[in-house]
Amino acid sequence: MSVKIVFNHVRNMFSDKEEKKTPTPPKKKSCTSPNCTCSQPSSAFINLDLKSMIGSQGMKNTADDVSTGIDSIIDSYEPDKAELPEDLTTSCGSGCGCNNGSHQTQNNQKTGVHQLFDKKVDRRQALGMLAGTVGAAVMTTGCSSIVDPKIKEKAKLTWEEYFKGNFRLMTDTEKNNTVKRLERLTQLNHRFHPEIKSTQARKNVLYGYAFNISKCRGYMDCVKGCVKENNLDPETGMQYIRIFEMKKGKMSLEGADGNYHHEVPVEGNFYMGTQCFQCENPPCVPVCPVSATWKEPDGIVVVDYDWCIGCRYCEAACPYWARRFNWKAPKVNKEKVNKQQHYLGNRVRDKGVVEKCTFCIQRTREGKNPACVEACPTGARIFGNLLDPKSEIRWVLANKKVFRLKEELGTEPKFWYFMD
Amino acid sequence: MNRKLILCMSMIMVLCSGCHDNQQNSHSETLLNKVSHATKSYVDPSLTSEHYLHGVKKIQVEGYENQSTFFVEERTQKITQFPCMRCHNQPLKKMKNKNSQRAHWNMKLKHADSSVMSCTTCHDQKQLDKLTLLTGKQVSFNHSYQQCAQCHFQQAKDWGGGAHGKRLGGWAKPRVVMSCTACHNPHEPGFHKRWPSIISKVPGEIK
Repeated sequence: MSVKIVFNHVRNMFSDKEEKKTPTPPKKKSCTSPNCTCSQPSSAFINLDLKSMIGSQGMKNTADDVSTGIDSIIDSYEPDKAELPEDLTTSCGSGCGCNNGSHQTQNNQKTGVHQLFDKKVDRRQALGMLAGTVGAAVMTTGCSSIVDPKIKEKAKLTWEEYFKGNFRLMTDTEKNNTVKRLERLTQLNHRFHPEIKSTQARKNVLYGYAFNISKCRGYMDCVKGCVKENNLDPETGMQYIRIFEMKKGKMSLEGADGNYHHEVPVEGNFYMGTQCFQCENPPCVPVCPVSATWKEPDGIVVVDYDWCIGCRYCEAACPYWARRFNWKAPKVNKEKVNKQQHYLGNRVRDKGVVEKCTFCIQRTREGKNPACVEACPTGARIFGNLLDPKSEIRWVLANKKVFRLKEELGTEPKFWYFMD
Repeated sequence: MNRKLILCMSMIMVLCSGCHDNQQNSHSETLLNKVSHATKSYVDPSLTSEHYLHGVKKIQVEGYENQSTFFVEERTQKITQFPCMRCHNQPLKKMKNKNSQRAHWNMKLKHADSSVMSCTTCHDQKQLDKLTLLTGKQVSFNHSYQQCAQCHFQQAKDWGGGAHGKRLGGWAKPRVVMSCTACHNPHEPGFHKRWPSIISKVPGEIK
């Protein structure tokens, strides 16, 4: 609510300022001919704002980034011939035959942003202006009839997305709304229409996983399945699962090879896969300064990608090295992308957020097995409901000798290893 | 002065307890305790994975009556030249002469020692549409797991419980598993060496 109040305040402030201080330039620049509908300079201004505000800055950065964005606009914006196309500065280009004089940009007079900022103002006024410009950019994109409607829609959706709440605090309506916005934004940004779910955790379900180290042969089919299912960028090589090649006679990950590149299995070795263990006491959760990661009632530790600030504390806190950081925006291939997505799962991530294995939340909450379980050719991976006394996972826990990795840490992973 | 100190201390207490208390509480109950408590009041989440089976015809597994029912995929539909009796319409001895066309020439038996196993250990000599158990009892191809279980009883036990083999569809009911021969070629049951299907690019050593 407070954000909305601030926004309204900023909007009011700007509208006052605009009326007082910039009444002349648009009139001077606009075409005087009655039949002509051109208004190039203002559209150039809007496009410039849009590029830097929505394109590169993404409008979801912190306030500091926005202000640096504004600075870059001011630096790069030169409303003279170098910036505008030649025909725009000499004639309106719409064939209206109007007098060129009325179109010429007057270099002597400061226009647009310069007019607003090239003034000696005190600190308070400067801050107000800065905020006003941010509001202006958004309001212009939202209200202008010149800009491409798709860009307008994108700006509107991005703006609304920017001010949404944490997923855990959203009502069902808010969840539906954000899912719809995200679907549309993906359509606009990546040109494919995903089906993003926000399925809640089911009652009487607690997911558990078992991994048979005597069955795994290191074929890495699980990793391939995971990359495909979760839309991981092959360019960055991000993988949630790691398969370690380990020497027999030793049960230590020290000296284990996670980067083997030869035919498998090798005599005298065994293979052990790690991923996020969805700990019952996840050390990655309390360290998050913004509560962007939490444990769901069905035991899956999830990340709200739109709430994550990318501080990577969770990555440091995880003793199993299960979290991954997006150093760059993952590339999305619209032909190969998995369109069945979940808000907390495999939807399109942004640069600078942390992600991790979610036991394929988009599949498992619908009763399906995770992609790694489905892909495993040796049946080394077992998945199921820990609360169901007749489930396979419970049978394994009851009948096999199981162990967990670094059990002494008290993290209580819901991921057990066992042997035949 | 004292009041300020007390106020300051209480502020610190409040701030610290925001995180630390919660952690202690969550440690008090172990995962397995939590699971066993929750199991007492367990109600089936009424979720089905039936539609992920994509029309697989399922057949109920026999011989595991003391546990909950589960299914295997039907096999006979998938055998390309089934029923076998279309060719095997006379006894094997009669068909085994130089003039008749040789079939199954590509079959090599790499399963146990040749003194232990031959073709007829599994295939019924008289009724080739069926398999045979060691006792001479005939078994359908759909229930071939019964035959494997004669020797591989430990694996069969694990398979029945869910520690061996692969499940079809999803984790939700019904439980449909792949039969032994869906993964293991019965004539050559071992898995082969091959290249990994993807290369790992993440740092290999754990920190």
